[in-house]
Amino acid sequence: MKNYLKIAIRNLLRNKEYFFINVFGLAVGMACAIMVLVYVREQSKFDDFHPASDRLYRVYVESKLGGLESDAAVTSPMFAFGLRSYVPEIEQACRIFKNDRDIPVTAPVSAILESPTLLYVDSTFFDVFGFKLIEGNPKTCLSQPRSIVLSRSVAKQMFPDGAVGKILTVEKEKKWVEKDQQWIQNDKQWKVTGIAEDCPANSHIQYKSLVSLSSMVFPHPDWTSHYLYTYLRFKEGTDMKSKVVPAYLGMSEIEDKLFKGFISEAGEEIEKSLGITIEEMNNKDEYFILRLQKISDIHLFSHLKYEYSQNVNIQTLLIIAGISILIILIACINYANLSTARLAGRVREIGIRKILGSQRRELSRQLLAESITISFISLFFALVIVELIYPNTILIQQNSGLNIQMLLFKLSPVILGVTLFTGVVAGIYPAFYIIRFSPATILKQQKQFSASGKGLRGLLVIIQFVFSLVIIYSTSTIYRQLRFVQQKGVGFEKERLLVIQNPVGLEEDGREFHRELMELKEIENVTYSNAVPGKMLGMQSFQNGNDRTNNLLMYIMKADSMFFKTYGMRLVKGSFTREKHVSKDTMDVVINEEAVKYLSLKDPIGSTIYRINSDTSTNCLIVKGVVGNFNFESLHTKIQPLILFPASSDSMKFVTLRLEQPVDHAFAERVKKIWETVHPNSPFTQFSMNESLGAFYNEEQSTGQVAVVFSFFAIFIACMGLYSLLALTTIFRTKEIGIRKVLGAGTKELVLLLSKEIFRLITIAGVIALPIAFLLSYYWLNRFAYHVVLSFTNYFLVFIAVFVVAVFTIYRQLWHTINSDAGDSLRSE
Amino acid sequence: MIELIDICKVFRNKGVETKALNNINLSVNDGEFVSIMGPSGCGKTSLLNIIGLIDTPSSGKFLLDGKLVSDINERNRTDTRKNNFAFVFQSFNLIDDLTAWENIELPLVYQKIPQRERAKRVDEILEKFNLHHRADYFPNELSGGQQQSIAVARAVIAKPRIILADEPTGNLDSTRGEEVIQQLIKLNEEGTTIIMVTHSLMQAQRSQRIIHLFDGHVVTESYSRANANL
Repeated sequence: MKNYLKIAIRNLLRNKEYFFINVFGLAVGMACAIMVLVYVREQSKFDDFHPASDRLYRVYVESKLGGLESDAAVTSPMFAFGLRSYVPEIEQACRIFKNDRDIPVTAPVSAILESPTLLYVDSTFFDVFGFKLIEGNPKTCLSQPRSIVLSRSVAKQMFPDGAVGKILTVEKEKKWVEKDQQWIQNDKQWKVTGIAEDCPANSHIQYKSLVSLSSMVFPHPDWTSHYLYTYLRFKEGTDMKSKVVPAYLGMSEIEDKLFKGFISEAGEEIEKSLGITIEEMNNKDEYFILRLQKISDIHLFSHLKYEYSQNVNIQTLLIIAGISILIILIACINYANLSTARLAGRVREIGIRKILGSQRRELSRQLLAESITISFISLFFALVIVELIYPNTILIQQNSGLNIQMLLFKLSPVILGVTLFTGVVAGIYPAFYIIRFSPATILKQQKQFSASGKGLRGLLVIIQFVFSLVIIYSTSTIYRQLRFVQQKGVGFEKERLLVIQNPVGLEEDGREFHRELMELKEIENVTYSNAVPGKMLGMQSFQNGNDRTNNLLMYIMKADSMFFKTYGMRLVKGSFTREKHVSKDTMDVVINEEAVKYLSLKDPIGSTIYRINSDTSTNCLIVKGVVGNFNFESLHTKIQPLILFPASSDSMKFVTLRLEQPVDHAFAERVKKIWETVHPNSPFTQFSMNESLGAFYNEEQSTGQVAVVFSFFAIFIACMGLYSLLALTTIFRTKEIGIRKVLGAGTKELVLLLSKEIFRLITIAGVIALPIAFLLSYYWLNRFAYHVVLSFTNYFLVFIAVFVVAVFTIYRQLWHTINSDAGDSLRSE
Repeated sequence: MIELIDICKVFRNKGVETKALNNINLSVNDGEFVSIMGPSGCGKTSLLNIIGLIDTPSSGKFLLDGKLVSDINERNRTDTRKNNFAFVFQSFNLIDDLTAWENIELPLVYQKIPQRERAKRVDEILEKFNLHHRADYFPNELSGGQQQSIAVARAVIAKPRIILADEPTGNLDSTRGEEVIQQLIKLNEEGTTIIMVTHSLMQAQRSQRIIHLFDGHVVTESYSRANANL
């Protein structure tokens, strides 16, 4: 063994150039595989730390109403405990309400509890989930109203000397005092009842503070309003897989039990609010059912409306894993090619060794020892690359607490296994390639020896370039699409819009704030709404005034009359002005063009639409205007029917400012200061509309970044393949090059001779890669309702770029070969 | 025609210098048939490579037709080489992937002779060397003698002024060797200058002048018997 290693290292060092190319080729391939291994492991381990994660499920709602399908992660607050009597298999339940606005703490310290990580949860939270409570009683800490559990880091930041027992004064609350017939304002106080360990990064639920759900007054405590998450833990041994008989929409028996319970409890409510029974829905091929999803499946497989956070697409993950396997295999192939090239220079030595009695087994062991040695040296460099690149990729940005060294250590058996496997795979071809020749063949028929495998090597270069072209073209498609989504018109002017979210207290001091804002000359317009494009749009059931037999789901939004002007929207018909009616049940509305189509309104202005409220009352809506379609969701989905109600002062959650200049930090700070003057204790959240819409494409952004890294790896490895092919060509054709030079071949002729084959292979690769690249890009673009068209010009440019890189790769070697003395070439023979 | 002045050639390997040629002074006239002899490693092939512009001297001057060619660039060397020299090697140096016909054609390709003219000349030369029946054979399908005849045919097809032959009969039996020497003598008689490296005194004596090399030096220069008889 020691002898093998010694000879291996000596041989490697003798050919330093090949040695470094081999090492870096393999290192890049291995770095890629390791990074993906780490990433895939992280992603697949989401939510696996809960003690009964295999029995822990989230309820979600699947519906099809008025031809509109909607799968939503949020459910009614009634589900969790209202359905337990129908499903005895439920062991425990927990609800989570994600607060949509920041909560300011005014005493004893000043702080802001940020909305995305401020959760209202049931007292069963620490029983159902595997989150750890460091201080406090897990059973009781969230049972009382106005109890709050802080995460370790928040508690440490707010109360370094201990948080439990502290009373937090949070926002003021208004109460209606019956006997005095007036509103009074009190300080709301929350008591810290526990400290929880910081939320693990691999959890789809992320918290920093947990407030008892009993502190909250549910806005709509009914079965048909869905706004919180319901988690159910089932008893051990519960059969979650058996399908219901007769089969109905693929529901399991447990889902069926939940559904039946839901119908028993909410059947009447559904009928009243939707004006249709479940049976009638079935007859129309429509449905409204409850589904269960395992908690550990949420991160990779769940892509519902109102998800807790953006999940990962399993397809993307599989593609990344597949590409990384391909990259490492190609790196192995390159190693094999380069080693074979190098062996060609050692043919005589091996022939002599054979004559002197070396066994085939010994020779192959020797060659395998070399490749395994290289593989382990490459591992070192691969780890260096991982250490340098991985922390800077977007892969890790979702999980900033990840300790890469620790993870690599944990993965070390797999990594070592992969290294060994790489060494064997890379070394096996050269080992068996050389030993199958008899000594006489090696010594006498060098020509025959060198020519064999030429077709295979060419094929491998083609595969590498097909791969590179596909991945680079796909990357370019991703970036073209990302540019497209940034530049595409969305039906309103998204630039220069600054949005202030959840302005608490706007009702009382709104006028003052508004007046102050209007004094700023930089502001062109101000509008108030309960939702803005991309945020907080709800859905409701409607009936067409001409045909009240059908219930139609449509998106809703409340906005004042300045909304359309501020957002720069297009009036198609009628007017944006909506009047107040004497009757509270009658309202003027504006609908979008899509709603006109959806409601089949021939003459929309003046048409009536009926809104069915959760309390079964109805509103008569009169269409006053039609606004041009605008994207209020991401470009992944087509524009949906939308109704815009007049603003009501109690539900204004957003203030949108149209600025004269693009949104800048300094101006946002000025607005913040005004806000703080008017509402000293209220949190202030603002964002630019353009950036907020851009956040829709975070997953595509990260896919793009990964694709760029992979493109770099792929082209690097493909060029290595090219280099090795040229190395082989040069070695095998040294004599020919010499002869041709002696006979008068000039530089041009020799460049053509040596590069002709390589460029032929790249061209073949270009032809093969075209349909594959187009097909892949087509499937990827399909996730968008609005996307770029596949471009031949773009493909041609990618091909030219790859071609140029290929030329640069071989240029030096070609130059060296062609400019060496013909005498050297002939002497080498 | 050819004039070498103080030509040296030094090879360096791992810091060790080996002088293959040491202050060689030599001139060859137009139409001469010169043999170079000497023991293995004395610098015969190095000298031939420098004359043929395959290799560059480490120092000294090489004048061809009075023009200094020892330090011209690669492109000019290639041009000068293809316009003046042809080579015949001991190991034939035919390109394995090309047929006999294509091997012979190659120098004409590099001289940019039109296709029709090339075909005519290749066919003529094959006829002259009595090899037309082997035109489509690959080198490994030919005997050593036939391969060398193809190599000689390839050397003369471009009508070079000078043929440099490096042990042209070294890999051939005596009969085939004699045939090749006859071919060279005939070419010389037709006006081609020939410089031949050989180990065989018998063959060297068929030339007009013999140059003896030893350890990179020209030790003697003698006029051969064949020449003496002239």
